[in-house]
Amino acid sequence: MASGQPYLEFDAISKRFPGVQALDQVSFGVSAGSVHALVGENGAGKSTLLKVLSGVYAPDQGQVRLAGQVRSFRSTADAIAAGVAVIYQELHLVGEMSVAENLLLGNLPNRLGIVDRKRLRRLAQEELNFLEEDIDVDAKLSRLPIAQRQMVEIAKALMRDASVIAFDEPTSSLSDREVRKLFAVIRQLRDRGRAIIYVSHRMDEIFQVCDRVTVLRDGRHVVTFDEMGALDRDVLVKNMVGRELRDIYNYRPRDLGGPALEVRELEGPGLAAPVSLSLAEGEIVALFGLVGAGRSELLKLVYGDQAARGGTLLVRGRPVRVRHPADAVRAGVMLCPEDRKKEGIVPIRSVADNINLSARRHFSFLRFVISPRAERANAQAMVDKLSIRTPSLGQLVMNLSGGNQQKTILGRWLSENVKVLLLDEPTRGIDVGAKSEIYNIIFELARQGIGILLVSSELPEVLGLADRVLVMRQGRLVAEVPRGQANEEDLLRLALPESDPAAHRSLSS
Amino acid sequence: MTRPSRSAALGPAVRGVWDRAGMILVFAVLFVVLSVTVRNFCTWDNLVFLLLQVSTVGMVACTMLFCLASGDFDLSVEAVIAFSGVFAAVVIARTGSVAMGIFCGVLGGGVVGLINGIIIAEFRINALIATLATWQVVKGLALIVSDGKAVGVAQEEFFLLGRTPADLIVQHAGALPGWLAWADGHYSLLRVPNPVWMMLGAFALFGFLLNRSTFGRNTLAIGGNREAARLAGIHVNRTKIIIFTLQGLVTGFAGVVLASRMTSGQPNTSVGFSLDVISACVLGGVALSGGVGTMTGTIVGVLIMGSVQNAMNLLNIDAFYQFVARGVILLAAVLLDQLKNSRPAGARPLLLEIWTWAVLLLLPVALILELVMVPQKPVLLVDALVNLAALVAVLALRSGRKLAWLSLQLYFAYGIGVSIWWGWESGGSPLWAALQVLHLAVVWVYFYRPAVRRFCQVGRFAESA
Repeated sequence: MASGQPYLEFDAISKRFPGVQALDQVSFGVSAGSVHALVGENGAGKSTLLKVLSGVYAPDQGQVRLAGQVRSFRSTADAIAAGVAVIYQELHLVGEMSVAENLLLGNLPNRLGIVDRKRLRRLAQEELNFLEEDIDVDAKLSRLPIAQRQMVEIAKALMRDASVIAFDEPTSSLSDREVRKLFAVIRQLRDRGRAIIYVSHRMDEIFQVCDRVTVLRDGRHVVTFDEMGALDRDVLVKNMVGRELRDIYNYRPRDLGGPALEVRELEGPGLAAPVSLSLAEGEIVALFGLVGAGRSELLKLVYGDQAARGGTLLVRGRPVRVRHPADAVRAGVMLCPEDRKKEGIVPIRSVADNINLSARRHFSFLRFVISPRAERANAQAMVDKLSIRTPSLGQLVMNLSGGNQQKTILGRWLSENVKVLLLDEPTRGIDVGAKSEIYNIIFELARQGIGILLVSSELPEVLGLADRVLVMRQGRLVAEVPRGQANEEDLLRLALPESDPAAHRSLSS
Repeated sequence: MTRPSRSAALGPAVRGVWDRAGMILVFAVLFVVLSVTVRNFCTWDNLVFLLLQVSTVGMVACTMLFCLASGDFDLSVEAVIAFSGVFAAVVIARTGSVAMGIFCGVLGGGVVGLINGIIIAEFRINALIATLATWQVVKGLALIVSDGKAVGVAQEEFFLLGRTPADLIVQHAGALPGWLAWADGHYSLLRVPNPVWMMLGAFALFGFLLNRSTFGRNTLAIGGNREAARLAGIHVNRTKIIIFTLQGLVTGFAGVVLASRMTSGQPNTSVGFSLDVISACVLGGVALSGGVGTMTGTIVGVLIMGSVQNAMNLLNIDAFYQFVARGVILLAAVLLDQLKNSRPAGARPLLLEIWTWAVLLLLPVALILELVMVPQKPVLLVDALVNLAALVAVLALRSGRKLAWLSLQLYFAYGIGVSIWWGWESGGSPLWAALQVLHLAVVWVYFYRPAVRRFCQVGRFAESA
């Protein structure tokens, strides 16, 4: 492999977002003619680093150097002009245009503004021939299967003659055959002297195609291995998680009651196999898995947000039919959604309105004529109980901090007769102080006998809160780990997708 | 009135009132100005007539408020108005039953609304496209049912619905007992026509529904965040269908009442009515993006539109110019919506805010009036151009341009000069001149206070950073 001065260098890159240090003094180099893997847990800072590289974010500190020269990209256009191409998971293509047009978009060959179709097709065809892709350049993009669209996106990056190419989870939507083809292309690009960054969760892929690997954790650079041959998979995983557990959790064992929620053979979109699980009153069960493992999808099926194809739900032993979130709410099953801003709060309404959004029917005459006094009293009670910091009940929720918005949503459900609480990433984007407040609320609710099903991508949170951890991988429930036996390495190893299922079976038994 | 400059503690309170009831203040100013400047505007008969003029818009605005608050809107109402009137008239002509006619007209509107609701909620078709389509279809139906001609009604009872005391139309002072008038042998409570009572009833009913019913609160939540509302267990689609059905029923009723006032069903009535209703709502602070809307605001919006139109009628302004005026007012209203939403809380001095709104609403009216009078007084063209420049300057000031600041200073100087000249020279109302001088003087003094200027500048820099 190539050696010497790295072509692309990150030098002490730092980037802070409100409440979280996304990148903290990250430095490493990527040589021309090598494939450099970037690994880490969800939230380790991989995506942020790619966005710094592609000019989406400007770093607070540090510099990006290309061929020894300091480059500061103020926009994605700057980065593209400098020969940096980042291929994201979501594709940036125009569905209604042809493949050829997509490949040369922004740079269509033309004569006095009239598109030169012949040249357009020839240039596009040449590029696709290089990739050995059998795609009709005249086909409308939206007609292509996802994998071919991905190849078009890659071809587009190559057309710009990029010297640095970064792939962000490129294989998530590809079949085995397509993955092999992609790897062949990547190797070819490497041999042509491109510097390639490869972000993936899949260990076997990393060992197949990458020459080096850099581990990020909590926004920090942990280690870079220059030699893949000698590297052990377990060593890599250990480096991804190895961190001391700060105890902000105050876990104390609770008495568990009867079953709060039983899910039997639940089937539906996002699940690869039927899922069964149970949750006792007062128990906190965490669903752990990587992004896309089907955790949120499972919650949405239980909540009736997605239509289930089969299976039964029992709440406190009583079977319930859930076809709409309203059915779940009536049965006492409440969800705090993952995307607070898009699915949780009504930003332009007041704190009181948001708290009473669902429960107001209980204190309305004939469930129709609302009682302002009862609503005010309820909102005030929730604000006091959850210590929601707001100047007044009439304050618009969009003006509150993330933690207080989350508490407002919790207040909405605590106003109801809640039996089971589904929490999807309850502390995402919330600063540490508010996090521990929310943890205390979760414990308090469990003590009151509410069953809590928690989805979290943060291992410390899972380990700190849960009585029991269920691990999901690729749409399946693959393991159940009681609190005493759960540790970060095992959980992560169980959650990482792998081609050999036998290895997992031995681990989970 | 409170004085924001006297006490610091009063500032936030006044801002609160302004944020919530700013449009009421603007309407109050507009009303005073029109009363002072337009003869016969502020008389009992004219005000009742004004209310009668806006009664159709007012009734439909109630349900349009719900539509907009839930994040949709409805362009088909103008066709429904025509259709339900014509349909009622045809049914009465065929069956001879007035009750049957009214029932069918209202129900016809309700069916159109139900179809709108199902298309928009269940099939997730954009409301613009869906109601544009039903608008065309229903307009066609109105023409088909009536064969393109007005359908007269012979039954006298039908006219009771839109009863207007005869003396109001001829506009002579009432010789009848003040609170209970007789006209053509029919009662009219407090000498106020029935459609006005119906409009007031609709205001009360839908105001109650919006503020005090789960249905109203759910409507606002859906407009504020459809996904969140659904995940909070609100039946979003069901609520939307109810909203559109109500819209259809109320519009159908308003159409029947209009037919009763006109004593016939007319297939070509109310062109541009949908946009009148929507502009009235938006003027009243209903956000086009949904989630924000009040009944008081909507009422004020209806009254502002009505007052301006009524005043223009009294001034004998050509109907062609009235279209221009309505368009300009709609534009101003949408701009206001935008500006109000984009304003970071507390970033602007309160008086500047109020003043900007007043100018944005009043200057277009002044502009139209001046342009109309240009043939008689060519010098007014200059004034009109200056006013136009001021309008642009006010808008630019919102974005914090230095040049706009300068041109405003010049405008004040000019405005005070013209006002004095007008007061002396034109023989126009001296009260009006005095009012303008007072207004400009206040603003002048206010803007020259260095503390305020610094504050504005700080605000500007903060925004650009």
